[in-house]
Amino acid sequence: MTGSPFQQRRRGVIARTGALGLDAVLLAYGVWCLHYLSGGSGKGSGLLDRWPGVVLVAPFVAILWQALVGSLGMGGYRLRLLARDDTPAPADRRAWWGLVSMVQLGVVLAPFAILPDADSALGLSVTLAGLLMLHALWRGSLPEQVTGIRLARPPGEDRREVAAWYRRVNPWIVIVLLALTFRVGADITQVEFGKLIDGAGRAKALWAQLFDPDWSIVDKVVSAMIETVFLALMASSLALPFAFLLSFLGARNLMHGNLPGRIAYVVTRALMNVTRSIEPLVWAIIFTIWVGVGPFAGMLALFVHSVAALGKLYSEAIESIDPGPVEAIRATGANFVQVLRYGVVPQVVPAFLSFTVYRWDINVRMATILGLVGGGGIGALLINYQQMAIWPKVGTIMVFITLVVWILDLVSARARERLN
Amino acid sequence: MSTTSAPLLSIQGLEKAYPNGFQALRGIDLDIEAGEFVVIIGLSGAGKSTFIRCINRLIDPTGGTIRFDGHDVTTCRGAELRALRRDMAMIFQQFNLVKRATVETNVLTGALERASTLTSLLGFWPRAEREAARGYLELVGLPGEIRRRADALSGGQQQRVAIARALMQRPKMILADEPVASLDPATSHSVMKYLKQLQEDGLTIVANLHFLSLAREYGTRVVALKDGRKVFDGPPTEITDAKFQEIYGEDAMEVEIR
Repeated sequence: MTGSPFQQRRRGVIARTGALGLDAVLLAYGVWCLHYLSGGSGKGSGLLDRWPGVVLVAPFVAILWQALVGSLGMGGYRLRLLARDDTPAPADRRAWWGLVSMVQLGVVLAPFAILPDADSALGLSVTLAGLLMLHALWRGSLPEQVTGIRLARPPGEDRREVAAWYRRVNPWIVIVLLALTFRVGADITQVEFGKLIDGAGRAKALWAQLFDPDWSIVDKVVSAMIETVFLALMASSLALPFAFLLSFLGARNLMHGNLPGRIAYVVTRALMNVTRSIEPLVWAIIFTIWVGVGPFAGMLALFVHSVAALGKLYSEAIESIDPGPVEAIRATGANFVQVLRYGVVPQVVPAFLSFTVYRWDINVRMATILGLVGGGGIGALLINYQQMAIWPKVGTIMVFITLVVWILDLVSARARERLN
Repeated sequence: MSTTSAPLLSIQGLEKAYPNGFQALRGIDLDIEAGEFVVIIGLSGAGKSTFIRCINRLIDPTGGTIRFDGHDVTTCRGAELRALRRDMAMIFQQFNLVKRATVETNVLTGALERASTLTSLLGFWPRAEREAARGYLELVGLPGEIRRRADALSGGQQQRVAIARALMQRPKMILADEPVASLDPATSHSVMKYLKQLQEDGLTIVANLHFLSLAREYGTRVVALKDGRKVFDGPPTEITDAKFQEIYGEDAMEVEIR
C-alpha cells in the first residue's frame, strides 16, 4: 500500500463499498431468480414487482455473508476481516462486526421506514450515508471502532502473488448463478424446442417456394440492388472525412495533454458511443420523417451510424500508433497540426482505408434491410413481396442479396489484405 | 541574444517528478559551452532520457531552470518553444522515422518549423528545401536512397537519415538519446563519427550513451548521472576505476566497443 493514510482510507472505503455492492447485487439477483421461477412475479406481467423489498434486504444478508463465511465480493476486492494486529479475526468478533455493520446500515435505511414520502427519505438516507463515509475517511469506519476488527486488504500482500480475480471466486456460486440465469432465461425467451418439429411442415413449404425463384422480376431486383450498393457507397465515403476529423478528438493519446483536450475527448467519445448505439434501422425511421421516404433517408441513416462507428475504429487506430515518430516530429519544432500530418497520419492511413472498405461491406448488408422502414434500397421490394407472401419473388431477392454480399465480402477482404 | 561569455546551455536545479511519484531528476546543475561534445552516462533508469527530454521540453520539468542561447526554455510556449526546439535537434535510439514515408519526406520534416502550415499540410515543399534535403542526405552518405521508403533502410542508414533530418533544422545543438544503442558495433562507430564530424564543424552535441568506451573515444566531456543526481563531470580521462564503480555499481565491468 502506498499513499498517505487518507488515500489508504479512501481506497479502503471504495473497496468496502464495492464489495458490499457486489455481494448485495448478486444476492438480490439470486433471490429475484428464485422468486421468478416460483411464479411469484406472475410470469409475463412485469418482471420487477416486489423489487424494493429484495433490494432493501439484500445488503443486510450480504453483510452476514461477509461476516460469517467471507463473501464473493471480499474475494474480488482482496478484502479480509482482520484484527488490530492484522491477523485473521476470530469468529465471535466477526459476528459482532456483522451486527454493528447491520445496525449501521439499518440507520442509513431507517428514513424509508419512518418518513412518509420517498423523496425526503432518500435525501436523509443519502445524507446519513455521506456522513458515515466522511467519518470512515477521517477516523476509520464505525464497526471497526466498536469491534476492533476491520474489513481490509492484508498489509504487505503482494498483488502479483494473489491469484487472478476469476480464480479467487467460489466456483459453486458461479455455477449456481449461471444455472439460475439459464433457467430464468429459458422462461423469459419462452424456449420451446418442440415447436421446431411441430412447424416443420410449414417451413418445408416456405423453403420449397423460396428455392424456386421467379426470374420475371430480375430487372426490378437488379435496379434496386444497384440503389442499395450506391446507398452504402455514398454513406461510407461521406462518413470518411467526418470520422477522420472526429477521430483525432477521440484519441486519448493525442487529447490527454491538457484540460480542454480531455473535455473534447470525453465529449467526442460520448457522442460517438450514443450515435453508434442507435441502430441504422432506427436512424432510418428518424430520417424518413425528416427528409421523407426514399434512399436519401437510408443513406443519411447509414452515414450517421458510420461516422460514429468509423470514428471509434479510427480513434483506436490512432491510439495504437508508435509514439516515437510523433515525439521526433514534435522535437523538430513542428506545430500541433504538422505533428498530426507528419507523425500520426502516415501511420494510420492503411488502417483507416481498411476500416472504410470494411464499413462499406457492412453498410451494403445493412442497406438491404433499410427498405423495411422506408429507407430505400432492395429492402422495400423484399418487405413488399413478403407481406403479400409471394415467396418465389422473395427467393429471387434473397439470391441477389446473397450474391452481392458474397462478392463484396471477397472484394473487401482482398482490398484490406493489400492495405495491411 | 547570446553573448560570448554566457554558456550555450545553462541548467540549474533541474528536477522532474512523474505523476506516479517517481523522482527521476533531483536537482541537476550543468553548463554547456558551444562546441562541446558532452556525453551523459549512467545506468538505465538513472534519468538520462528524462534529462535530455527536459532540455527540449518533450518532457516538462517540475523544478529548476534551463536557459538556451539567451532564452528561458522552462517558461516559453508556442512559437518561441518551437523555435527553440528547431535550434536543438534531436535523434533517438529507435531513429523514430516516419516509416511509411520516403527518406526525402523524413528529412524535409526537419524544416517544418520554418515551413508554412498550409503548404506543409498539403505536402508541398519549396525547391530550396528539397535541394537542402538532398544535400544533407549526400552529407550522411545516402544520396541514392532519396525515393525509398524509410523502413526499407537498415538501422544504421535510418539513423543517418535521422541525422540528416536533424541537420535540416539548421540547429545550434544536437541532442542524441542513445543514438547507437540499437546498432551493431561497426555501425555504431560510423554513426558516432558523423556526430563527431558535426561537432568539429562547430555544432554542440549532447549525447546519452550506454558504453563508457564510446564516451571516452568521442566525448570532450563526460557527465555521469546516478539516481537523478550528477555524480561526475569532467574530461573522459578522469574517469578512474573507482569513479566507474561509483557510477555503475560494485559489480560492473567495463566493456569495450570496437
